[in-house]
Amino acid sequence: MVLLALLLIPFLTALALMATRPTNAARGIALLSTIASLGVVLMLWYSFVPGQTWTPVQYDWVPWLGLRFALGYDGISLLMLLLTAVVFPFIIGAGYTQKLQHPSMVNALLLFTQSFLFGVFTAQNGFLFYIFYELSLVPVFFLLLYWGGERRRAITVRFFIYTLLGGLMLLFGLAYCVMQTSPISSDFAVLQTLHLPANTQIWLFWALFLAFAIKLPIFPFHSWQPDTYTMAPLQGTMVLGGVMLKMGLYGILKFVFPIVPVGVEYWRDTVIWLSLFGALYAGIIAFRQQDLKRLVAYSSLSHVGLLCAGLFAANTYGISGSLYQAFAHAILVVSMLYIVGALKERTGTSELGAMGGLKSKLPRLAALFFLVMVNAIALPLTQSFVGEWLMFNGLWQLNGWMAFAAVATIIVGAVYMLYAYQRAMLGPDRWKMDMADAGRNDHLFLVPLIAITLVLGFYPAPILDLVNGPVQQMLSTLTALY
Amino acid sequence: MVNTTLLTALVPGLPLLGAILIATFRRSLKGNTAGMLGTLTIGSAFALSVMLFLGFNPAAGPQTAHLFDWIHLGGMNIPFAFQVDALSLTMMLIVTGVGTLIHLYSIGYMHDDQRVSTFFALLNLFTFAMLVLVMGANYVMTFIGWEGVGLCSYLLIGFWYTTPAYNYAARKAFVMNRIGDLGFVLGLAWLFSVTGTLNFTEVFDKASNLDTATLTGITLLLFVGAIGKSAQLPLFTWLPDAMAGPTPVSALIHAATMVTAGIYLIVRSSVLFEAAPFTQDVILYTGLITALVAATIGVFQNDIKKVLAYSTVSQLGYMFVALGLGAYSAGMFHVTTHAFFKALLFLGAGSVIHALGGEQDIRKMGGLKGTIKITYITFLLGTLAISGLFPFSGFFSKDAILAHAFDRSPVLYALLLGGALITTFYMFRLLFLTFYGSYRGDKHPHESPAVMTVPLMVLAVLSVAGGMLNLPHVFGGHEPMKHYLESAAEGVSSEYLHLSATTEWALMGLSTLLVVLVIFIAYGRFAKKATLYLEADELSFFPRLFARKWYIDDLYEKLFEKPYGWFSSKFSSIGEDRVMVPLMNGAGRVTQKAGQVLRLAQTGNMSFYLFAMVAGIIVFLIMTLYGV
Amino acid sequence: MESLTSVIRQVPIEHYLFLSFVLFSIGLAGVLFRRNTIIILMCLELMFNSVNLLLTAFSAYHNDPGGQVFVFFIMLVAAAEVTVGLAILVMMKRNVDSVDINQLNRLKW
Repeated sequence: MVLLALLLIPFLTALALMATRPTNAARGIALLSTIASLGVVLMLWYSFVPGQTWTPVQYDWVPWLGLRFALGYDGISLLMLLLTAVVFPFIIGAGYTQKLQHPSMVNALLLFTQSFLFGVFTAQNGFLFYIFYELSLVPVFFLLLYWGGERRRAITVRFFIYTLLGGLMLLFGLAYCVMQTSPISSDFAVLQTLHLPANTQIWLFWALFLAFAIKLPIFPFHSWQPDTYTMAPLQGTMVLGGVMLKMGLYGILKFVFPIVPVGVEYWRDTVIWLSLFGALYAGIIAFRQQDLKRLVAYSSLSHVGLLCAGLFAANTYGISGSLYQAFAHAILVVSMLYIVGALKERTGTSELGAMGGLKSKLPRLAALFFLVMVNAIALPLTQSFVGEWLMFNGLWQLNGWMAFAAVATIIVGAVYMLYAYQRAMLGPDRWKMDMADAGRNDHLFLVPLIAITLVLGFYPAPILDLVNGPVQQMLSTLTALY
Repeated sequence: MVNTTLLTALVPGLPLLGAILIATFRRSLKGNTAGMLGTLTIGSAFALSVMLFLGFNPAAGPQTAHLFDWIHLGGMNIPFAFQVDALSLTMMLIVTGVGTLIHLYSIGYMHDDQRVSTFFALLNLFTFAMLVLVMGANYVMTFIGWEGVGLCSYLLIGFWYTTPAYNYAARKAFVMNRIGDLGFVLGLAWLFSVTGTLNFTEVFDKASNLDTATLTGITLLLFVGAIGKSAQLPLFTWLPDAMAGPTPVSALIHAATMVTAGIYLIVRSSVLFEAAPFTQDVILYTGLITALVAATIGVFQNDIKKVLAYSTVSQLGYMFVALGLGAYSAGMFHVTTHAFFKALLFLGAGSVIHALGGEQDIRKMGGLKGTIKITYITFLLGTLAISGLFPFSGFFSKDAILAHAFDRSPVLYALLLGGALITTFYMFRLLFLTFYGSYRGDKHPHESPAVMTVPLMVLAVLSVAGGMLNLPHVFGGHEPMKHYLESAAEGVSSEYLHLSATTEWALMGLSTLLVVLVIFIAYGRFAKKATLYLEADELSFFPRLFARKWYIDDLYEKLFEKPYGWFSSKFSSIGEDRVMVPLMNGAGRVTQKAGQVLRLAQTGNMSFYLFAMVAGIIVFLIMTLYGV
Repeated sequence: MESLTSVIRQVPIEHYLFLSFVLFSIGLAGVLFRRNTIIILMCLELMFNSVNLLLTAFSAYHNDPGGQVFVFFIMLVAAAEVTVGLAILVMMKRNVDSVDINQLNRLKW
């Protein structure tokens, strides 16, 4: 019932917002709703017994398809729920400075997304997962289409079709798997016990993986990403980069690893090298980007490459590190984008060439920017370090050269982040106009995020304990299958 | 007995607390309050370190203060723990001791700066990070400090952020350190994968089970980290640029403490390095080449801080030579004395700069010994110490390294002695051009306030007497520091000098004689008449090569910086805009084109449709009938 | 009284098949090759009826009244279809002043 409440709180609030269309109260209502969701998730976390899978909600829906409305969670789901619930109040909160037209619609769309994301992360049934996975795209589509920037139609449609293509592959792969079950069922628990023949797994891998590879996205399926992130309204980019791409990671863990373990084994090196190449490639591109938002898009691409590589290392450190880093990345992307928005609000541009010397005018915002950046370049005692450190170790155990390429991203990352910071904030003051330094709103937004980063960097045990159980369990079944 | 865990945790805890307090209340702290608070916390940390030092029994082995499990996952358990042993105590005393003096000095030096509170917050944060580095009980704790000092170094080099060149220097320092970190992290990952732990004590216990090839790989990677942090070839170019920071920063971070982190790391891991002779050779030659190259560059620098910076690089090279020779205690001894005299020299230089209102070019100085007497005397003592003249501290520490070098090979000894003589030459050039002759500038020099001169005097005393810390046998000493360190770094106990007392005496006599000779030459050239070097372009080949820093910076710019930017642009303009995006759009266009072709089938002719329908039905029927 | 079924059965099934085939083919040819829409509609009816004939015949031979029920169904549907078809035809005549099927060629590309 709690899980149903989790889905329904944002969903019903969104419906109510669409029906009544309040102008001024919309953000407040949405914020309350997300905080309520956060409360529910924290409650789940509090009562969670590590290492268990709960499936409290089960209804039959379309039996001949094996589609059941089954919701539940394990440690990994809970981590994803947690990051969604933590990040969304901030995404809604960013609306207080963004001031988009028709706030009730914007917030309703955001809440729909949240509801569907909760669905994705709690679904225990393949088809149900697929339904939520595709549904979550719909509100984002409208958000991008009506509130996006330049060339929004072309870019949105491209993004939508590209992602849909991946989804279609997933549907095909899923249908193929379900057809092999008897009696027909698409429950994860059943799908995970399919022992498909090795050569089937080798091609089926791509059908299942492609959707998530596009969603993440990893090289070479990333072409939709920079344009979309740059064009999308700030809150849309936060949703895309902060939470939605984690669906990709989660999907890989729930579909690809358990169903086609032999396929994973077969394609592992390819995927890791692609991811790592993408990570370096995007990191190098980020260095010379002129637009700060686009730079954040490429930096996200770079981080995601590393996340995917860590995941495919397919050992304790790799997967746990990747999951831990996923959380860190959600917070990082949201706070980084907020900075982009705050700078744009004050200077009227997000072009780095047009900025410079802002630290003299905005010392507090500069300090906040710097603290966010410290997380971005994964200095120890920030959340990112824990994740990256674990991933490096995971990759090392697989192959030293992979670890080398992975660690090289910390150089590349430092290069583009510091350069961006320098171009935006440092140098002589050349701004004639007065600017308001970071105020109450900015502090309310950024300080909690930075605090989470530092606290979880200093004491990562709660999150690590959360994922450790399911990861170990999955690995033991994987090794049994090899 | 007091709770040692708490006491140990307070040593880095106090500076951190100071940093947080100063940073939080930086706007309401007036005047010297921030400086006092900063100095007080570091001073307390020093007092605590002394307490720990007095209460520590080397024979009892390292004491660990376990705070909590930091990263605990699967077989990986990295506790947040501090380790107190002879080695970390030595470093703690240097860091907090010299740190306190430099903090005190900074109160005077940074007095007029608007962001003085920020400065002290960062300086405190740096001290915290440095203490974590030297006190960590495992490699990852060391890495926390390692990155922390790098971050503070970045922030302090770029402290005056309105000057683009400073920001560039800061970024360069950070990125070059990151290149070193690449090696460090990989080394740790390797080490972890073969030993399953990163706690110092456990790693060293298991080290004997590892084969030489693995150890060589691991130690080489760790050494790459040390190269970055301790500014050795090929990653040394950031250190001279780092002089962009305020002078106390140069003294604390870029001379006395942070740059010696690489040496600390190797001494700490001496067990691993001892078992990897190839790495030791690499360290030896890297140190040797760096020492000589940096010394030659130092001769032709005209910026008072740059001279000192290159001399730091050069001295760090000596320390690495010591480590390469397996003379760990000699290396640590030199770290200690170098911390004293180089901090002294930098603070002295700061005092000169302060006196001249920001002037750093020695060509516009001269004749200052009359006007700023205390600075002059202390600077002279520092110069004598770095030149290695008996009985100053530098003599003992450098001589220990030279003796070990002679033990290995006389050629090595000769090269190192040559480097030492070059050091003497440029240091005295610096001294004479700054303080002797007549004043060539247009400012009104004035002596610094007591808050700045007192640290100078304390450091001068230490520079003079620091040699007593490890008085060698030939002088009737017992090498107390060596014996102290034996309990912490296993490599120290295997150090053994095969030289007879006579040989040692002879070597010392030779070096002293030559140093005095070089001082006279320098006196003739720079004190009697001030010989000023021209701009680099006007020099002949070799001096130009040295003045141009062997073109290493230019080489890196051409080899790495430019191509990196080029790749960044091209990946974006070709890789993305011409390949990846067209590929995606192309897929869409293929669909569109296919639609264009296929829609021609829609002729609009009803009869055709009917015909096509019937034909289709017939085909379908045939297929069904024949079961195709 | 002789039942209708036995009357039908007096003619061999092959004859029905042949007749039905001929009727169907005539209808099909008409649909394909005539241009007058009225004739096309009539040919369609012819095809319907050929099928109806066959259904009736088989129904009788198999002793299954279902087939004949279907014939009624088909006649009903055919009537409905013809109403729609004729309505379209009237509209066509009004709009393009012709009942030539090749006039309806605007629905393309």
